[in-house]
Amino acid sequence: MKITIIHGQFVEIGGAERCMLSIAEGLKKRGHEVLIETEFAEPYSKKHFLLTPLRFLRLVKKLKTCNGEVWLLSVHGAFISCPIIWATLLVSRLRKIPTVAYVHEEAIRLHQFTPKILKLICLPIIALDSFIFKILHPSVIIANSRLTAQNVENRYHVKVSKVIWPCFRF
Amino acid sequence: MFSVLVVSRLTRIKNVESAIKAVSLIDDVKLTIVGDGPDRARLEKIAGPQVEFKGKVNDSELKKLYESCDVVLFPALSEPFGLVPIEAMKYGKPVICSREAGVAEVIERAGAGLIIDPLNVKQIADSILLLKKNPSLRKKLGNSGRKFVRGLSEKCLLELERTLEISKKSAS
Repeated sequence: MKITIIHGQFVEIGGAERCMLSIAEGLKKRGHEVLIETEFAEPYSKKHFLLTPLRFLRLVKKLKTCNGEVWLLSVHGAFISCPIIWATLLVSRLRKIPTVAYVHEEAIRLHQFTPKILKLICLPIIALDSFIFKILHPSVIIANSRLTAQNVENRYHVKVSKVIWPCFRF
Repeated sequence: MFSVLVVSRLTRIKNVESAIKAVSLIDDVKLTIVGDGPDRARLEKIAGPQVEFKGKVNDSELKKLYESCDVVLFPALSEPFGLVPIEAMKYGKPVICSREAGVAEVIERAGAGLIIDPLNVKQIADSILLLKKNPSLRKKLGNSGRKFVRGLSEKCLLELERTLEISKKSAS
């Protein structure tokens, strides 16, 4: 298969990144043609957040020419990664490319220690994120744990097809 | 001395505070904390002499710490998955894992540790004490974890590959 893995940033800094890199290597070893599509080759920073609408449009343009018989979209917990998730969902629908979303966690996850100001900023983005995911949801949604599956179903009101624990190189 | 290891970014959501409070309730237990973050200064203030902050360490040093500890504690208040308990299992170490972490289901399935309420300091302390007093239980949990985690990534990859194939076929 020609598989395109789509992930916001490809720097080996977090669990989601390490997992997706392992998946890419593993699939390649099993004889698949694997392409990795990312928005950034550097860790996210606050400046990226300010350019969200612009980034979304740029990504839609980029993904229109992206190859792959099947896309594997990595959904992970950095609200700054929303544009690439939204753009992938939209373009895959338009181009009718089967897309499997691997959810490490909801794109925006707030908790009791999130600063209040950030919570306020995030509320409309969470609403938009939920709306877009619900409308444009991919055909198959995989969660990395039962806990994540529950959170995704509660947040996005979509069905998680299965739980597949993350792959890691040891 | 009985050694407990925490590997975590030092932020409030990782709840290392509960680990520090729990070891303060037990005698002859050493807590080693690997990792750094914005919460470090506050944690250092509340930590007793039995707590050692290692900061960031390289892979070989981390390997040594995993090998030399008796138990790995993962007290996060919220964690979609959590790689540290999987690493601990690879080293054959029993894990005391927060029920609020996605990885808890792996620990449960593997029989590789004890599941705790991350805000219940007494329960964490009791779990450490239970493992401290029971070398045979530690060994049993550690061995179960090591066995379970072997080949786990390959199994998950195969499942993912199958899902991608089905998705492609059903679309065409």
